Amino acid sequence: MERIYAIRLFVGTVALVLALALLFAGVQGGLPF
Amino acid sequence: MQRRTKQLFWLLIYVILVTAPMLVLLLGPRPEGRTFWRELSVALGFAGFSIMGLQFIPTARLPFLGDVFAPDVLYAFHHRLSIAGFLLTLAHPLILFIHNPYTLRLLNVFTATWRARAGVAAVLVLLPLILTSVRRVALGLSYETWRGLHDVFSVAVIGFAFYHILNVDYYTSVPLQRGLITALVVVWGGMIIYIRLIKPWSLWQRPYAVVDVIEERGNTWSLVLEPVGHDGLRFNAGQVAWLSLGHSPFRIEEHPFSFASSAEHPERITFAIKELGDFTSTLGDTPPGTRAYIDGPYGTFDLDEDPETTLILIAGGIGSAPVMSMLRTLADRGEDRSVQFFYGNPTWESIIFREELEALEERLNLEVIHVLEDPPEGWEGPSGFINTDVLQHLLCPGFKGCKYFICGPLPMLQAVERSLQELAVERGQIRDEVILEHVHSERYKMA
Repeated sequence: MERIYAIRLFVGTVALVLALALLFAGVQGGLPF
Repeated sequence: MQRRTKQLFWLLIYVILVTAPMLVLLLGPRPEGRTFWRELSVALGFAGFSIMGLQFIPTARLPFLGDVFAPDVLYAFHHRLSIAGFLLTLAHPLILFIHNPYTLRLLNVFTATWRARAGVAAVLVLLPLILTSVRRVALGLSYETWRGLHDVFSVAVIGFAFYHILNVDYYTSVPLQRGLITALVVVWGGMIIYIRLIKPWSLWQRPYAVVDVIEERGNTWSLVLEPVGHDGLRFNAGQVAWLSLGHSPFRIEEHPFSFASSAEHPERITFAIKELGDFTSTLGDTPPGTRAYIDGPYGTFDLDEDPETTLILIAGGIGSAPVMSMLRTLADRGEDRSVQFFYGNPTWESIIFREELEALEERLNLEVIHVLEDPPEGWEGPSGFINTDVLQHLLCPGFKGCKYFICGPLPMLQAVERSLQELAVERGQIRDEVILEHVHSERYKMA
């Protein structure tokens, strides 16, 4: 179970980081389209 | 605080640290004339940089994380994030090149600025850093050589990336931003000092001596240690420690093993170690009096959590080491807790601790079920592997409410977890972790 938890932990972290990077780019650089 | 709450707390801290550079960039003045794609490139670069820098944390064996996350969870997290950090870092220049092909000139090492060269170097050094980690054995690197290279490459990546960020200077011109990036790098550097100097120094203050080396069945040795000049180490049955044997803890040579002795006796610690590799095959020659250092305990299993529930222990081969720690602890405490132990081995003769298990069955409310791959003639017990069929027929009634501990190689863990899930489904339970919430699995090897 701990391994499944680790995968979830990883996926959640990367998803959150990507979402924040997109938000940052949108706020700073405007929308791409 | 519950362990799950602690885990979420530390995960939140981790995400804040990863995104801190990005969040602080938002506070400063916004550079003019920047597009979405360029900003996305910058954001991913900073995210990759933070993830790579924070990679020192999961593997630093920090005491406050020791009983919150299982070591193999931290190592799995570290391995996966290294790939993610690399891809994010690589996305930083790739987006720039696609968005503005003119920036490809930054790759020309003869004409590019030093800040661009440093950025390219950071990405290039990431390649051997990851390659030597995922292909260590295939490359013929010893564990110690690899760890030395890992340190050098990691510090080089952070150093090059730090130089690149500070000298590009788009987002680090404000003192707050520059201060934060510098502080992060100082903290990461501090982690290396902690891992390589402070922690070994604290271990050096608490030495142990080998007092006995006992030959067990199945090419296994019990290494018995006693503390020298201190009271020993408090641990929970089922936890692990990193052992340095016969040399200073400052040397990069240590190996993770489960405690096999009773948690009631921190003054006499035993590790049961099977001959599986270079280090383990020399254990039998260890002379009494050899110095040892124990870094631990680590691991989240707690025998005293739900003390009334039946304990189902499932192990293969030397996976019985933590199980022995649990059984010896229960015996020392005189507990009457109901325990079932499914123990898989190749043959009857290779069953490690066979005689002691028979004695423990007399003393405890314990049922040991041996599962043999190659049983002797006339064997009436289960044979083959510990699979759904074996568990279905022999698990105690009400098995869904039991507490499970599984220890063995990864294929065995996966097979047993699948079997337990199947059993839960067959008996009308919704497929989820309703049963597996109570299953704690440990791998033989973490790396």
